[in-house]
Amino acid sequence: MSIFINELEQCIPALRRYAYTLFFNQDEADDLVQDCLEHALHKQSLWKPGTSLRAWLFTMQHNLYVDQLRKQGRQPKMDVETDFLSHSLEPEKSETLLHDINHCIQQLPEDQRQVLLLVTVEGFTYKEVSRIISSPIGTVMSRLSRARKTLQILMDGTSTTATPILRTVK
Amino acid sequence: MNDKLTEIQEADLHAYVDKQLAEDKLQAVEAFIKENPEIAKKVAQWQQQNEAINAFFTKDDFTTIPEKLTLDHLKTSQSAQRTSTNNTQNRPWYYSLAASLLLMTISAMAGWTAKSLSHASRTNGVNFVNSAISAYQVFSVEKQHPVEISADKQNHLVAWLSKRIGHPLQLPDLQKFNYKLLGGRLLSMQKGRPAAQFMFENKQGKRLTLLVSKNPSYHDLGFNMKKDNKINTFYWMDSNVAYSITGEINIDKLRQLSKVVYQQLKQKQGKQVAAL
Repeated sequence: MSIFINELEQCIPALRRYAYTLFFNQDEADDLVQDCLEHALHKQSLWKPGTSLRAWLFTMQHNLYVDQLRKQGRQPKMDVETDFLSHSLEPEKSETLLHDINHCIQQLPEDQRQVLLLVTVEGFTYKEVSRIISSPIGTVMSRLSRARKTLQILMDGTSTTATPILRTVK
Repeated sequence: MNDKLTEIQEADLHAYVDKQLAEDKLQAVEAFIKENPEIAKKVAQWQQQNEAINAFFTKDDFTTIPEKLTLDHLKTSQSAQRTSTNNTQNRPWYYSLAASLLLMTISAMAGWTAKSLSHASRTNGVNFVNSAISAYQVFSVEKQHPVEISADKQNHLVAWLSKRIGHPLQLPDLQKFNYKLLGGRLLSMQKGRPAAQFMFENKQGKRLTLLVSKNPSYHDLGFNMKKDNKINTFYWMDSNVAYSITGEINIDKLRQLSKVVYQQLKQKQGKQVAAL
């Protein structure tokens, strides 16, 4: 078995895990991973041995995801902060929900969530993340910063009453 | 301290939390955090976030790889693809034409297309397999009336369901796996489309179902697998006809059995066409 195939196989669980956080649906996530793996096998001659195959695959999967959204006429959900805060911090949301990390992560704007999870769960360096999402490193850092800030607000849940400014409704 | 503040950026704090900070900065950042309770609190919060996220997203088992993501499956399409794309620049145009014809033949033979499947056909597949699982759940546990027409009227059953589905149906022979036909029934799918459910049973009373449905929006879809708690399903589409085999049996055994069903139906279909 070639090094490429061997390493590729080892990356599948991580690709599935990350894809899952894009859809929060395993079937759709696996469809994306399948696309990615087919592309990867097809284009394996483009991978430079000695470089990180994992980063290469994540970049490919990210691009396929962006393509897929574009074909469906959707944009990745961007972080328009007021929109986000007005819908996610509705008072009727129960405290337990807000404390649930999965729920909180789902509430994050997609671009922030991607960066946060690529760094924390997948352990990529900021530089690698910048390549994966083809954005400058400054963008990576600002998304990471906002992701953590927003996540803290969501996790604290109840403390939002003390900061009414965050509950601005459009 | 203000000097330190300008020297130490928020990015350094993130890097500290993510263990990506350059070693030569580590001491200064640690000292800075120690000196600033506000900063220390923030850093601690971020560390807790990281822990919670990691605990959540690594607890799920993403290592049970579904059939469509296995290298066996992927490599079949890959070898076909490679035939058509290697060194394309150096070859005359008819090479690539010949290669794509070969690719088409291989795909048709293997029952799946080497090209990435469109989103729509996957969605169709997902809808179909969900219906197949529901139908299995409802009828496989039925004691009194598991089937509408029993196996002793097999010819009538097949003829009737073929007519309703609008496709000449074939029955697989599962004796080799110790399953025999119990009978079948007509079911309705979304938008009033009919489906045929055939039920098989072994001596221990274990059942599995074959669901067949025709829909013009179905397109070739390779072997796919779905696990739903204890229920396993393999499904595929052959042009406009979708098939699924569902049962609460070991996934490897079901895979084996489903491949046999696929081959048998393909063969019988071929004979039928030849006989026309």
